[in-house]
Amino acid sequence: MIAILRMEGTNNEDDIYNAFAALKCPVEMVHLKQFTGGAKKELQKNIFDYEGIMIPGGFSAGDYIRAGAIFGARLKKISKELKEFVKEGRIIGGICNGFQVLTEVGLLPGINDIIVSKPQISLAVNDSAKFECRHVFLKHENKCFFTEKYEKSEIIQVPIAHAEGKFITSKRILEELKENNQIIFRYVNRAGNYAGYPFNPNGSMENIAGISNLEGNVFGMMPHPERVFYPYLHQEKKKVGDGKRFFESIIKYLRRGV
Amino acid sequence: MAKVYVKYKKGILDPEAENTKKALEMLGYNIKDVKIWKVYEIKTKDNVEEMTERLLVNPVIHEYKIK
Repeated sequence: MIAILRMEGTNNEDDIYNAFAALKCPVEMVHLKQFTGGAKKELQKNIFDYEGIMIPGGFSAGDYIRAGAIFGARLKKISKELKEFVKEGRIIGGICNGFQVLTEVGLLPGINDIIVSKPQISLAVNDSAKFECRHVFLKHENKCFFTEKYEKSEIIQVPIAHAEGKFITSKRILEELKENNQIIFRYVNRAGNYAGYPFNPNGSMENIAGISNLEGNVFGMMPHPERVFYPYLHQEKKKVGDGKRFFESIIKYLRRGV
Repeated sequence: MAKVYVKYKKGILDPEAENTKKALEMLGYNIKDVKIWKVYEIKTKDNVEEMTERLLVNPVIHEYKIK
């Protein structure tokens, strides 16, 4: 069972829910309070009843302070459980605002520690100072459990919709991410080359669009694969939506050994 | 009351400040640099430094001072 974790201001939970449901994967909406406390007793949930948690896009807590900061700080209440959850090989994914939450809560970059107490990555205001909302090209640089079904070096087209998506980290962490093959997607042009703005829509370091933790079971990306689940959501004619395999990869991982 | 001042670290581009600079220049002013600070006025007896580090700043891009 997958939990789609929502709170005040998330707005992509339905799209992710529908993607999993269309692939007949058991999925459930869970409010943050049902995990961290604060919901009625009979509504409380245990994260260990789920194999995966997906954090959707949106504007959680109005993007106040920084995008994802408030969601992240609230989620930190269950840091210990999250650490155990990841250690057991269960998955946590974040898309757009969900990626910002995963960096704020410290589950990414996930290099030496599963979770760090202070953020080591920032998804800062786009260089253009604009809300960038359009399709971009992504190169699948390395595989993780969320992208198993894509070919290595494949170019896919996925929409973005964010004002804060500029990937910034320290030189040391950037080097480690590269060394460990944790950079999963980079922004490219149609031909697959790194090409600066507008192909890199936000000014991210090294065109980074999505990364995973060292083990590959925690993953975050700014673009929205759930918004190209069906081929008719693409600008161009395609037989299958480029985002579909993202969900199929997750399901394949969950069914491993079955 | 504590005041928490947050701004971008040196070397981190602040697009809002850059655009403010450009807009002021377009009005005919001679601008060398613009920095934007965010100020939180917090009435509390609790540990302001701790709450700042837990929520108000991301150390990758921000520096802060408390007065």
